Amino acid sequence: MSEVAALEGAAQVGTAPAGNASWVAPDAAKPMAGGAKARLTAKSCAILVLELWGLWVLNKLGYALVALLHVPLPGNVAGMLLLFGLLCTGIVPQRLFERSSTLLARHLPFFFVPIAVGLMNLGPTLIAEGWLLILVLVASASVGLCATGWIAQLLSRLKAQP
Amino acid sequence: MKLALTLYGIAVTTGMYALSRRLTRRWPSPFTSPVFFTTLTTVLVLVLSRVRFSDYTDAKEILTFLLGPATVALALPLYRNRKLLVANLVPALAGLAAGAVGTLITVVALAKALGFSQLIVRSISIKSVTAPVAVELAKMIDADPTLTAAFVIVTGMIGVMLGPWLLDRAGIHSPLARGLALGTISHGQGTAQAALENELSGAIASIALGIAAVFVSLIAPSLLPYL
Repeated sequence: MSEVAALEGAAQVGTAPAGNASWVAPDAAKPMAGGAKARLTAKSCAILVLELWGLWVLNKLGYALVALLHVPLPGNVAGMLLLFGLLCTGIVPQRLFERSSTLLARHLPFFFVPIAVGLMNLGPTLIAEGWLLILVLVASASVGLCATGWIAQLLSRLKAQP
Repeated sequence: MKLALTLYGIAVTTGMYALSRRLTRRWPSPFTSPVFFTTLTTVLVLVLSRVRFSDYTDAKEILTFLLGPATVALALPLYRNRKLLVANLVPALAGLAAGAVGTLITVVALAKALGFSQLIVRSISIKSVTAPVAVELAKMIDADPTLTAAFVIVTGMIGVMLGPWLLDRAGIHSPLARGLALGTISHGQGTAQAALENELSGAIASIALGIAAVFVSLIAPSLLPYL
């Protein structure tokens, strides 16, 4: 049920803002044009499962690659880079993973929240020192936000007026 | 019994997630966001119903099954917005690298100065990496994935609550720089916030999130021993 909603919502998101989105790749919205009428038919369900299976295989390949090449990189990041490479070389067209990627991106929090639930074991230590840790996080986030923002803004202005 | 507990764990998590999606639509706030609300309420319900975390691990395994595929799928926004990245390559990459390294060094230095344990220092160091990558990276640098996930979630909330205000104060008004900053530092939640401000900001933030994850994955394991 939630998948139907996600697919339909995704179709709307995909088609609606295309008008003034000159900086988004123009081909981004196209594959979703027919998706507006997406229903949870047996066919679309099967396609979704196949897409997810494809992503799962790419993920496993990523883990196999880093193990084989001894690269200090998380396997899922290697899988992501692998898919990015396949998309860039045109071996894999992006519409192949259109449905699954939209669905997974929409519900990404759902897939890592169970890991954070492990906090129930660490509760007491964190409650005692939690405020201090939050201050540390606020300070370091502020440094990062300003550093990124300033440098990006400065360099793009320099580029604009050589 | 074990099966019943696992099903209960799945039901609680899924139910709280569904609830959070309704709540955040009606009252949009970092506190009703699915990441924060679902984590907090699931922990509360499990603790109140006297379920131990060891009884939840099977549910966790099942629910996180799609985390790997979800990470791989992050390649698609990266690919869709690649032209935007190429058009702003130098400012984007320089800003991203400065922010990612700056925030990593600051957080490690502060946590060490305040006397936190090695485990907490390592776990907090990668708090600006998107959660699905951070929990994997945590295993590689001998950090605790659970702690890391919590720090990542709080960092995302800080970006949403404080980011736009701070960027205004700092005189950072260019949509490109704002999106890049929010995506680099506050990953998924920051990207959602950037997309609310401006379409260009959202697009560059989704690029920043992906590239920052790759960049920090590459530098953190070699940088941490020196910090």
